[in-house]
Amino acid sequence: MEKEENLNILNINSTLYKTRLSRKFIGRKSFRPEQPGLVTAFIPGTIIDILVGEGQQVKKGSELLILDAMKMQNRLKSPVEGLIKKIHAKKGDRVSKGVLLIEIE
Amino acid sequence: MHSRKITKIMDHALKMRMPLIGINDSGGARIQEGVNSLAGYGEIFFRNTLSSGVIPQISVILGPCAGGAVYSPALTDFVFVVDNISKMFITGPEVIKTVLGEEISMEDLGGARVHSEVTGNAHFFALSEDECFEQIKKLITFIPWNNSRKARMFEPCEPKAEFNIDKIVPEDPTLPYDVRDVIRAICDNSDFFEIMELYAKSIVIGFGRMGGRTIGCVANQPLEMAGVLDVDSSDKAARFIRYCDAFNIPIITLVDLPGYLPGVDQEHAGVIRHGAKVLYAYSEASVPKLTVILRKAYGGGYIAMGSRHLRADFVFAWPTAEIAVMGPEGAANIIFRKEITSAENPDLMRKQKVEEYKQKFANPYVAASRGYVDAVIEPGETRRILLHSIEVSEHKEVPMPAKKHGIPPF
Repeated sequence: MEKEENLNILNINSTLYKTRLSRKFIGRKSFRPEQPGLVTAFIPGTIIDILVGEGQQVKKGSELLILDAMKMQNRLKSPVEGLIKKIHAKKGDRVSKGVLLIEIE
Repeated sequence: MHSRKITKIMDHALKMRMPLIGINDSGGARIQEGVNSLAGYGEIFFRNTLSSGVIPQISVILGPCAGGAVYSPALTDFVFVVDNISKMFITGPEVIKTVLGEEISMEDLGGARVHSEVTGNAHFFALSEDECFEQIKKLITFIPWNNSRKARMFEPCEPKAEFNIDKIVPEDPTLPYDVRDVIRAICDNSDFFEIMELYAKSIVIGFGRMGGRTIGCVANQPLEMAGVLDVDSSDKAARFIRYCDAFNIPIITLVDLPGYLPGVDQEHAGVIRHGAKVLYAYSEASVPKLTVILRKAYGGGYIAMGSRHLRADFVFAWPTAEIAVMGPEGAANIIFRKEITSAENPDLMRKQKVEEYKQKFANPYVAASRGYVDAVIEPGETRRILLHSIEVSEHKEVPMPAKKHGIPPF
């Protein structure tokens, strides 16, 4: 069979099939559960201001930083109560979607 | 203003019940004309919708087609794109860069390949305009002028001898083959006109002829992703089934799939909702529906692929068909878990149980005994039997309960 190129194994319900895999399947993102203490950029943009410092105690809902995106100033609030462990961004940084900004423990 | 010229011809095409072909090459709304240009688009979209399913509507993208302009093709039946020439997107690269800070070229954002391979917005991909025009001419030969006619009858013609239907499908159900070879082994002149060849490859759709009559074919493709149904292939199949149903084209379904593609990304992308589209499309289709189960037909996949339960008119199965809830390995692991784990030699026990399951369920005879399969047929008889089935289905009529329309899982 001349179509033998690029054949891989795909497991469907414990049966292994010899077949070609699609690019979408190969490039799929594996699932990672959300970690509440990690604050990421939900949208690409620029950090205008950081309102907290490392070691600072914050309550749930405290404002952490201002992210300028989609022509709006987005004030990111703390999802949990805790201590600011590490800040990964500084004023003026241009960030992409999903970039880790602040770790709270 | 130009929209008036377009809507005039659209109204004319609908009135005369003839196909409409739109050639798109535009920059979008004329900002200077303000809301009038938007109104123009709206009038076009409305007419696309009004004519949908009444006259064939074809869009050819021969340049950039941005913003509003791009919704007209989206509302038509078939979209043709040409490599490096066609561009379609709602928001262009400049706006994306300014607002989101993401850099991308026009070609990477909405070029012909993107829409043929990734988004599923395009149905035919050509390397040149000339190739594109030949594709359009060929498509027209398969479809009727409008929804109250049937497609033109051609001279019946035997398939080409090079496609030997007995030699294509491997006996081992885990090995791949190109299902298009099976389609070519049964179609007139082995002439299969594939649609959306580059998208959701685990399912194959397209037009062919049987005994001179146009038929639509939906077939699982074991060569790609084991022929699974997933979000994209469900969309691809469902829309094609709707098209055939709207334009009086009988549907032949060839089945060989291990089920749906498992995965968090599939679940979160809504495989439930998208998969349901196929069930809906088959159920509501009143054109003749003929199904041939070639090999595996497991679980929900068995139901979705034109089964008797979705009111297929004829369901045939090859002797190699395996109609079961799932494959023998998966099933044995579940049903015989106790026996396997408590056995002296679990591996041997598992092998025995898998064999037992195979003997009992992995064949078409259980389904046949219940009437879910009308006949078990030899591969070599497939064309002859399908020809006969299509002939006797010529005047099929099915009543539907009175309703304005259903609520398909859009």
